[in-house]
Amino acid sequence: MRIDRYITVFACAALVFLMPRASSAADAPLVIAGARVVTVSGAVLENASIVIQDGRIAALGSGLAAPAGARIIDGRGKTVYPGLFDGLTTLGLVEVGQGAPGTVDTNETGDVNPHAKSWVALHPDSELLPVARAFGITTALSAPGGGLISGQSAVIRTVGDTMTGLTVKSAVAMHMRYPTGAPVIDFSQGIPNLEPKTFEQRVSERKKNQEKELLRLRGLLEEARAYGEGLASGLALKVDLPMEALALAASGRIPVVMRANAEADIKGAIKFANENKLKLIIAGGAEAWRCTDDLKKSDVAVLMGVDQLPTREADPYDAAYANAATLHKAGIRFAIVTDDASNSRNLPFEAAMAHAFGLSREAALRSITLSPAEIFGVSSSLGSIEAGKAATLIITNGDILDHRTSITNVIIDGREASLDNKHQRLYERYKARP
Amino acid sequence: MKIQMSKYPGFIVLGALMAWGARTEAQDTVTAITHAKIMTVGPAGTIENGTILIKGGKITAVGASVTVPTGATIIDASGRVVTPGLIDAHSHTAVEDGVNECTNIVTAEVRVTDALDPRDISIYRQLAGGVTAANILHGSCNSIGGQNATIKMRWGVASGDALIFQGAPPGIKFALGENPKRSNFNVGTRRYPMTRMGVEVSIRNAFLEAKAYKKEWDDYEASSKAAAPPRTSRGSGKATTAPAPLPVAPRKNLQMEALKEILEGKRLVHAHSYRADEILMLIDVANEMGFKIATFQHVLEGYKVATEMAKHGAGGSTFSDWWAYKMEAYDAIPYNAAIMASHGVVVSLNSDSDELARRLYWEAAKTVRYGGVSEDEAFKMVTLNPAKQLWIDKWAGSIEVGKDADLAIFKSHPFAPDTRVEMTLVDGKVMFDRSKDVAARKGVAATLGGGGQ
Amino acid sequence: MMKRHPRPGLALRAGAGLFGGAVLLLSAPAARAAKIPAYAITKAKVVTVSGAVLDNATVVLRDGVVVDVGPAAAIPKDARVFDGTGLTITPGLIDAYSGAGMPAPRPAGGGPGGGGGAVATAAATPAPNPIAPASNIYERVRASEALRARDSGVTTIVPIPREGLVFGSAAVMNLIGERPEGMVVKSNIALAASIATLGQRYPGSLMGTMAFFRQALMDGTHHRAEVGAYEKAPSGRKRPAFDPGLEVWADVASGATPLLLQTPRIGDLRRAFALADEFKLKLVLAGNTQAFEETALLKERKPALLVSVNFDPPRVGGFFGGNDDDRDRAEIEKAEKNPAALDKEGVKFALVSGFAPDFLAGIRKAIEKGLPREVALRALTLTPAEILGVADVMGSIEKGKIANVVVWSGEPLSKDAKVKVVFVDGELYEPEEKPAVPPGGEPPRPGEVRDEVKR
Repeated sequence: MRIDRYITVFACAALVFLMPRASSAADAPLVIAGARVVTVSGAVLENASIVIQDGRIAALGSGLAAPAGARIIDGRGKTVYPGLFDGLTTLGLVEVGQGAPGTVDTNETGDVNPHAKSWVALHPDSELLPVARAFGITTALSAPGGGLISGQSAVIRTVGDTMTGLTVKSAVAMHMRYPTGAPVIDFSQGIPNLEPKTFEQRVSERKKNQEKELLRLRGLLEEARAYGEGLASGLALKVDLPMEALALAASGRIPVVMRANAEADIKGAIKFANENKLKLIIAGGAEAWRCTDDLKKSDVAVLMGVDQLPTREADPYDAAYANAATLHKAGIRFAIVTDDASNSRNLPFEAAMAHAFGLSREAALRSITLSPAEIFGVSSSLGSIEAGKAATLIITNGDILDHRTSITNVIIDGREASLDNKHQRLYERYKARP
Repeated sequence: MKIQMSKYPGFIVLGALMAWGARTEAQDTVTAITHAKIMTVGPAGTIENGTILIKGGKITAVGASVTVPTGATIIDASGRVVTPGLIDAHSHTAVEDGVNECTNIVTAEVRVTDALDPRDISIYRQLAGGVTAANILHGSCNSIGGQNATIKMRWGVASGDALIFQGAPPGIKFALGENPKRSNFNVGTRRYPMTRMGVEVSIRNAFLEAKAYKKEWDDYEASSKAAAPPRTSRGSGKATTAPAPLPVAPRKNLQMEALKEILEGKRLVHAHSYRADEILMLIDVANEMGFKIATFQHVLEGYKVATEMAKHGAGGSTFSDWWAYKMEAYDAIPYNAAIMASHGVVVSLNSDSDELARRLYWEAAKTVRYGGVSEDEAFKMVTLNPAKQLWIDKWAGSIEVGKDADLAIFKSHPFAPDTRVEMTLVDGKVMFDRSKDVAARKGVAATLGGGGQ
Repeated sequence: MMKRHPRPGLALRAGAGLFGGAVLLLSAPAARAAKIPAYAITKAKVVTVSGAVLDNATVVLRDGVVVDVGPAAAIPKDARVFDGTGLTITPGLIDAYSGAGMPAPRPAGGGPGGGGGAVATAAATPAPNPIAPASNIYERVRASEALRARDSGVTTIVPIPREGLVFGSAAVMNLIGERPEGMVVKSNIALAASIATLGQRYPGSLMGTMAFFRQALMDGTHHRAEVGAYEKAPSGRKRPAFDPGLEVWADVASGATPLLLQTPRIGDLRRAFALADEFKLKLVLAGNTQAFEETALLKERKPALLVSVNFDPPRVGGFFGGNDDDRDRAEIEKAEKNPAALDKEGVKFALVSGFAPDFLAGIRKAIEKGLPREVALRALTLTPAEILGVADVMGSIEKGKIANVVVWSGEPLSKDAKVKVVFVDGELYEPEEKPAVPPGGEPPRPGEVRDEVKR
């Protein structure tokens, strides 16, 4: 259903409440009336209204007066949620994953790229953005990948005409890979012919490599810290872009998102971060359920996927599904993420799987809204429906965790975003082809 | 679309006999699943509070008022939803040491059955997602790949052969587009074909060769029949032409044998495809060579040529919503299943993934959102429709008397956001039981999900 | 099809008795140069394997043969006599699946993957043809390297190449001499092959490998039929091409030549049986370290079975799903228990090194995990001799058998056992005192190409 048609229909229905302006100027006040509002931060409000002005939520509750000139969205029978926040993606950086390297800007050459910044390469006309948006993803962390130090991420909104317009907050985090010591394989170069080795050889080589890489990473961080301190004290240092960028993380000004999945690697990353005074966020965290004590003790947040296979053959079949519930019970901060781009729209379904395997509905929803906003320091304006926060919301015809539910409206920063997207267009074109 | 059974009579009958032999193992006790909401996916529709009786691995009764015989093993499914076991029409599970024989453009001689691994933990994990049968396919490295294996998820059997779904007709993998032309894998190597044109050539060429091979064998068989009663021309002293020496049988070429079976309608073609052009291309080649395509697999642009697919009688087995992971998937849309179905194509949703296979029920639910497919039709896409595509709907895909007792028991409606599979039965045997699985956990695993549940 | 070759040179040496009864301790090369006509080891414990354990007995070796054994054996006047007090004599160990003297493999290729498939990254190094049914494996043995296996008490090997698919004709070889052909005790005991994959080359997958075997066996049979028809009535018929490889496959398909098949995966046991049933093959199954999982099957089929003590063979780690160390560790532990578990169930087998870098360490591990020592010894002597069809000449200490014996200090195969002296074809070899690094250096590492050892 096209959004413009939709608005026409419900604008009529809403006449009961107030008189909308004839032309719906984008920045006119907006009211969602009579909806079920899942605020995430507070109670679920039944038959409530949300008043949106100047891009923000001006008021929330029942019995609210609509501001003059406000456009009304009839929310009866609908549910309003905060816009979904996918806390780890490559949205805006990648168009076609394979076979079209010209459309991929995720992995820079070499393995130390702290000065690579995702927000300078966002493609506003990516077909992936409207697709994600139309299915409820309003906000995402867009992060580079690859190498040992991948670069810096930004929080983006999924609507905007320029890369600047897409960016909500930049230099959100420094992305790294915790060195596992295992050979890093670039599958774009084909499946390599690996040298067969005994288990003992593999384990000892991994350990040796890991120690070497950790030493190197530690050295880089120390150098960056010294460089940053030098700059701060006014020393005329030779320009060193990597060091300048890495200093942000080394000094603790921005957190480090470190990819680690295996128990030993998660624990190793925590230890490494503590030793090097990094603000750590774990990405991946497949075996985080084995590390709850360490994660809790150091208050480390986890960005995790759900729809994954267990990492070990002998693990329970639902290890990945139940991971989130385990962390939640242990009081560990986490966000459920897709770690993808084209599949970002499946974010609520990953949360649903966590819900099916023990995570409460509320916690599941929080993990794709408020929790990532908190982890990335944007919760003062994003992640929940509260007066004063950005009006970044979605309206649905049902439970957002349910696959059958449709998203009827997406509002980003107080403006209704178009739900038009490539898939919808092709659907309209071909659905009735004889 | 109806599959024309009459075109394949020979092996269907043979299959049925084989199935009978294997299915009459002693399983005399009756199992009763009671107080269940039963989504039969068959003519009986959904039964709100019903009973299913199982004997000898078969469903012997299903309905709202079925009497449970004394002595029956009872599975109380109060509050639960029983469905047919899910069927994955595209899987590479339980295959050892490579799903691709990538070295040649045609490898019709290789058999997935040779490489089945009954110890693969994925079998158990997929049971935990309600999957009871799967079409195990060769990879998509070549235009004509290897022979498939339709299996049941019989966790615990010792041999790969014991996984085989008895009676399922043999099939073969074809692949079109980027994978056989190695678009994304050709670093360091070049192999014919490099274009979709070349893919067409390689398939036509193989079938022309197969036709020549078939003729060679047909001729040989005819001549050895003719030569069988040796003519004795004695006496008369007249010079007679010496009888031609008995011909040595032609070389048996296992690759050509498989293609010959396709030409003879004895082997189902499952064609990996993405773009509309290559789908039409294969339909044309099939028509020219005189064979049928059972299913197009992935078939992400099937929605663009659904009419032509329906006309050929090919099924479509697709992903629910994957797209943009390579160029040929850039026009993939989540409405694909809905559009193909509305054009009369038998549609299934497959996994092609050991991970995705565990949540096929939710893949089906997505078609309700994308294209407004009814819930009943949506659920068929992971049960009865794949069974039809694999020609095993006589035994699987719905809960009907006489069919195999391959069942999944869900906590709630399979599309609900809090659902999960609680129990899975194959041939009437409980192969997965979540309560037992959870109870058996030790150490830190026992705390998973916040402890016990 | 099995042929036995008398070892060339045996007759020559038999007549060389220049030193008479001189009891000189000579180094091995010197001993080779200066022949001693007979040896007698006295007052030793003799584990004959075929019969009782004899205490305080004497073993007399002459002209490469055991001429007498027992407490009352007469000591020839011209014999060099060893006082075996406190020592134990066993038959020489037979390693029926050995990498001794075989070049190290190059990095292997291949791998799984839906749309993937292997792509070569390593520069191709010249390698022997991985499909060589018509070749003789013994020709590929580097004799001087193979001889090092004697340090572990091994007197006899069946050498198998460390890489490839169809290795060629296997032979039983005694570890003596300088030329591989001179070492052969019995040639063409089997066609040796592995259910392996070749990565870049067909067959690059397990599916392909099985299809390859099937087609090869059918082609062999077809070839023989064509040749037979041609020989019967050549006139007017196209001459079939001469193809020694197909001849070998025809022999395998007709059961004339056994197929010695390496079965790296546990499922390969059933794959091998299925192939054997389809083509009526005679099988020798080699290598599988998890075979106990198929105990019932093995008890039913009673195959000739070679069980490897290479419990942690080199393999490509899981680069798709990360590392599952738990599983890998468990698999090694299961492998270590495999021989004991099989024996407990009454499955008969020979123990083989399967390219283990330290054969004796592997054997000791199997014993430590519950394999009775006497069972281990039989599985290293008489059982392999039976499987290889040479039990009439080796595998036990009996009058008339080849003089392949080992003199141990300490309980043979135990941790403190030392190989003091080895006799191969009656010739004496004394292992050097073990340096920290095993003789021959570290085991050849994958990818390493070693120079020929200096002669």
